[in-house]
Amino acid sequence: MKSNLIKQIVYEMRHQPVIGLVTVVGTALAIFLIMVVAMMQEVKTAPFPPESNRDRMLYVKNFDVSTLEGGSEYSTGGISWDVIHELYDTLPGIERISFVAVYVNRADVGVTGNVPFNVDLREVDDEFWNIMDHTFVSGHPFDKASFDAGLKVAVINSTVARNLFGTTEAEGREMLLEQIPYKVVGVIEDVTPLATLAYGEVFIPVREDTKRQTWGSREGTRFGGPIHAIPLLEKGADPQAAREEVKRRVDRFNDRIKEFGIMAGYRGTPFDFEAAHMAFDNSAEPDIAGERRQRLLIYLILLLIPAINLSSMTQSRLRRRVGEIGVRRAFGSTRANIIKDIVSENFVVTVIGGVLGLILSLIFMYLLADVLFIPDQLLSNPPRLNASILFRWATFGYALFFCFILNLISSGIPAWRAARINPVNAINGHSK
Amino acid sequence: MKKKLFRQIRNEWQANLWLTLELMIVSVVMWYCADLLYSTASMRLMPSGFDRTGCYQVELRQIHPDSPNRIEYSDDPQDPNSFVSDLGRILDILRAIPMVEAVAIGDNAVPYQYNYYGSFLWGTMDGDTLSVNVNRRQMSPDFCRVLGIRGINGETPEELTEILRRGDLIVSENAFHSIADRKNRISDYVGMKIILDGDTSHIRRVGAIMPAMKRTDYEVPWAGTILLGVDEKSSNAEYMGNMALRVKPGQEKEFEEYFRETALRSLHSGNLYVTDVEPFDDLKRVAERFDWIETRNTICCMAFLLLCVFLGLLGTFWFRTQQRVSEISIRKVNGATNWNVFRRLTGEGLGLLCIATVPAVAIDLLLAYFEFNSYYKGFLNTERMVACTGGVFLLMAVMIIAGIWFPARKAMKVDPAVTLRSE
Repeated sequence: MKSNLIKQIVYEMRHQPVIGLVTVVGTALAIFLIMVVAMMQEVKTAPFPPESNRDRMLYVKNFDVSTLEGGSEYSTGGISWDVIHELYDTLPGIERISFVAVYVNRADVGVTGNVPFNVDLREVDDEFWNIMDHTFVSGHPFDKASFDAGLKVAVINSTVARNLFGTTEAEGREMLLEQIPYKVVGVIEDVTPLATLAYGEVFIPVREDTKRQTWGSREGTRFGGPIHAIPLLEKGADPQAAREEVKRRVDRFNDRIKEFGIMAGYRGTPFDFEAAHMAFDNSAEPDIAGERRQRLLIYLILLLIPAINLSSMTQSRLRRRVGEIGVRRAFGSTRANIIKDIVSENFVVTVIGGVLGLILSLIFMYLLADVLFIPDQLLSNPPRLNASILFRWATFGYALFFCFILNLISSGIPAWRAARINPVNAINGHSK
Repeated sequence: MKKKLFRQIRNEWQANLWLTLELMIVSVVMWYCADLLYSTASMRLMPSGFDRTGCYQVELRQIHPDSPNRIEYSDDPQDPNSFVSDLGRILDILRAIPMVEAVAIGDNAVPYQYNYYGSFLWGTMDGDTLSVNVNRRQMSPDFCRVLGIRGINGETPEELTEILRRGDLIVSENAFHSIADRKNRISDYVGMKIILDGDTSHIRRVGAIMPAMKRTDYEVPWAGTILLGVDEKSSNAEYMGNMALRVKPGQEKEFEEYFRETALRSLHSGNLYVTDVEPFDDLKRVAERFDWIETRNTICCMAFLLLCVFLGLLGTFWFRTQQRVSEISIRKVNGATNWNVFRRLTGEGLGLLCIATVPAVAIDLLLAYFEFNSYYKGFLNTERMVACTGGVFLLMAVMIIAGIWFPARKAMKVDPAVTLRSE
């Protein structure tokens, strides 16, 4: 049966090369585009090193304060050190939590006697290293004792290490960060900016002046600040418990600040990774359902239009095989059998096109990553995709799934119609 | 001829229904994309009000207060050991670079940043009262030369520099839109006395009027702008967060090499030092990333759809021509030329497009009426609707002709004698 199927496909391809080629190219094009769209989305939320825990990582980034009457007071893209600890530290179901400065900053590093150069600086705490899994080339991350003591220690990436010291074996060496001496305790492998939270070239403990910064509208009400939190969910835990506790804490916090005529908003935080990517508005919950609907609509359009094309081609192909279908029906083949054969025959062609499309999409993503992904700020490194991001089982799963759907839409109706042909008419060559 | 064409289309209605449905969906989605591109391109093509060619942002830094290298500054800007004096030295070093045309400092002065420093302007002139909120850009006078700003009365950047230096304001023409209907020429408002942010002790004069100034190339200049001069040697210079320079035309590459290899070593004075320069092009890229991503995705989507139409038509008509070999032969025997055969096939494709376009345009209008498209001078705009639906029709027609071209060529090559003999 299977060899018949392959023989049939080869025969069709040889006798109708243009139709066969157009079908394969059309399928490849559809799968290519849909895979590029799907992978661009995947890169934002799927786990890859050093953000291997993305499926358990939550995120806190926005803060908003309104008047008791409901008017807007202010909103900020970060929370002050004290307030974020008050609201988010030690939550139920949370294994650990890291507090980090909001964005990567441009800072200069150098060694005495040399001209300093710009690097992407990230201020983090000691827990950051337990949540992310950076690869250390030499040395180690800074620990809690160093962080609490406010030691001037730094972890740098391999490129910075080579530029500063000519080697990645830089543990224990001294560098100047904005003209302040820092001791290098560890050197990590370079990280792609696509790992939005783990990316940085130089990592130092959150500085005292960052901890002291508060943002807000007036004296006594400045609760915003430059800190974000990254809670790591316990394995199998439900984030809802943590969210309910945060809501209780926000209520308590609001009781305390109501003397200023204001209240903080609870916006369903901590967000999971997908929601955090959509949370652009500081004072509103991200519309996950709306975003997913929009994505589904895009996938549907990307599948439906090529499917209509392929469907009319399948229909055309089948009209040439009316006689064959008639004979098979006359010899007792059931309609279900005819449909099954046509759909599976088409599926093989779809998979051939799909594999081509997938390979094309992987090459395209690898070569054009810096055009496809534009970081939110000026960074020293372009976004690069590596094998661990590109070659994931989920990617192949998606490709196969999209092929299956495309095949079902494009061959389902023609196969169903072909199977309904009256055998007598079919043998006479009439497609009714 | 046309009657026969339509009869043929009707006879193949089942296959044609699929094709028409596809053309209709593609037409609507393409119209949506075209509408978005039309409004984006219209906004993009509006002049930005400045010229970014050869412009760089200078990354000026101060030694951190915790650093042992930090020195104590005097508050007196005239003191050689002050922030202002060190800033002056850095500016002098930059100005001495042979490739540099102008250097300046400012606050909210560098474009491609979404800052809006609201300032309230109030002024009267010849019975007209101006009362408007504008974006305030503070700058040392040379910033006019850095940004290549010109006045609407033909003032050169050098002349505008002098105007800022003498303490007058430069106001963008769109700040006057609320009162301009009473006068023909906005340029008549030069000389208007302005009270800035209600401070009646400092009445300023409009020294020149410049074209509307955008913050990014994609943005409509929805608010007016004023340029306010700041003296580089005053204590106000300490609060200026921007430093920028313009390089002489065509010397960008030479400048970048010289800057990184030679100049950077000398660009430090007291607590101040320069670490790098960023071309405005890079700032623009980051600031406009969302607009660019949207434009790129829209163009990709259109290209994909057009390719789909091409492949769909190619496949369908290839098969159709194979089926109609005998019909084509009979027509040729009866005197049809190759051109007639080609016309009949393309006519069929274009006929289907015309049929699909009718409901597609109805859906387009409905979408525009319910504001499901992009905003540019309203949602439902006749000029834009005609341009976009017409453009989409033409583009799709080209793809249809291209798709039918190959099967049609095959049909034209049919030898009637051979085909009919085999029949």
